[in-house]
Amino acid sequence: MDWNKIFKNAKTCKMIYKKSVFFIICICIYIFQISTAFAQEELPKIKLKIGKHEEFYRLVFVFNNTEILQSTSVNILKDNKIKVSSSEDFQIEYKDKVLSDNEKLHGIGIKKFDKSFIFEIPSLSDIKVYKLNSPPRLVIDAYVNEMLNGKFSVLIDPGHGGRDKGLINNNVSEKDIVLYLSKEISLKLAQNGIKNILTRVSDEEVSLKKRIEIANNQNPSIFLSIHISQENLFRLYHFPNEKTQITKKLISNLKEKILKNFSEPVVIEEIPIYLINKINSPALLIEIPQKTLLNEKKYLNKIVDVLSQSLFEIGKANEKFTKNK
Amino acid sequence: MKNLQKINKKIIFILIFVVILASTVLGYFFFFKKDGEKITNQEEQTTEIFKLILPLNNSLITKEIYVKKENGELKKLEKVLEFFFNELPQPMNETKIHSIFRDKENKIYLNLSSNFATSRDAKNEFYLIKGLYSTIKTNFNWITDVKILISNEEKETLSGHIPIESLKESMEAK
Repeated sequence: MDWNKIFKNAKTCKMIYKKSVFFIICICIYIFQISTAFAQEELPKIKLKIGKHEEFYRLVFVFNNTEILQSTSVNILKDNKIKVSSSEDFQIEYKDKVLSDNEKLHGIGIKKFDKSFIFEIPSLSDIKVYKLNSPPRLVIDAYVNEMLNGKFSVLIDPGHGGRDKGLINNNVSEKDIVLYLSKEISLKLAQNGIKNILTRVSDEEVSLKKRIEIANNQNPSIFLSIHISQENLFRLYHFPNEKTQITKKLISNLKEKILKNFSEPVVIEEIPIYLINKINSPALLIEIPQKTLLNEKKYLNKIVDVLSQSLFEIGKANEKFTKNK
Repeated sequence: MKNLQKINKKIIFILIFVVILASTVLGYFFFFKKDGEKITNQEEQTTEIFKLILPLNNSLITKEIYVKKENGELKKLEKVLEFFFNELPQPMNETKIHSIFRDKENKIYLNLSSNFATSRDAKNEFYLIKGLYSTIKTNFNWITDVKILISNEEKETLSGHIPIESLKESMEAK
């Protein structure tokens, strides 16, 4: 018996066996990939339509059959998010284009997670959901706190907040003074019929990025950020070569009123401050005198009167101009 | 004849004296002056000139500093920044540089002590950051961007008005 030959044959058999197993595994993987690709392509598509109204966004999902519509559920999550999920995986088509896993449409962030889509809507307060037939569709009306689009509106930004106290004098911090002023101005403007909102309403930390995001989502007629100066003067910051008429008018109106009502001087600064540069709407940053840190209510209320009166006059003039146009 | 010989000797003596004196004077000017030049050349070779752009009364001023030559760009940067911080008012003049890093895109990460992040108004903060960024960019043009960390932590701003994640973005706004 030639043991060597037998050994060689056994080795060759083993090699062939190993190769064929490897080949079969490869084919299986290939078939699996193709099948999943086909399966993905066959995912049911749901058509999405988005409408922006004065007080709400309307999201309409048009389905191919009622079964998927019935299995679809809608929930509100934390942080202004709506979750639309179904028992089956699905794709969303917007204007004949299948949405990717991370999209932004009309200021609404859309993300896909497994068998659900998350819609992030800024300042979301409430939702109303309707399921309708012929064609089968799901309608979500997402109500937002306030939309500043349309009429003259002001977005008031009290600087600092939370751990960022700003300037401090005898336990009185800038963050509290500017919040007080902003709330009072907001109230006065509302009493005079001017739409306005605040970037923060309590002692919370709001990043500059978030403030810019709020401003660019709300698109106000004017963005006014309130801070305190290290000196006893009023400083009005606007971006160099500011071309918007509304900012120019507000600066000139404020300057006139401050000089009439206060002994402190007014300085107008053309500095490319990041915050006012990144905001699409006309933006102004005002620094009020350091003595406001003494927290004298009479003096603070005088500032409230001047600022709100100035904004009111600019608003009225703007509405008149728009009507005439 | 004797008198003539005496006069000749005197002339020769005077001539020798004049030659010695002239050579001494020439030698002094030639060698001593050259040595002096050598000394100043050596000084120039061991020092480098940098420009500090400092915030002062809500504007910027420029100062020149002469610093001993250092090997390595980050060492030089650290030295220049130490001078920059020393020129600032209290408490910023006590700012310590914990560390400086550089990434592959030549963005610099400055890890500074909390003295640098004190409360100030928007204008003061703007000029402080502008001064720091301009000092770095003027002297080290290879640096593409600067990010400031305060005591090993990422902060959005120093005093609530200007982001410090990318000084390029904050300062080169158009």
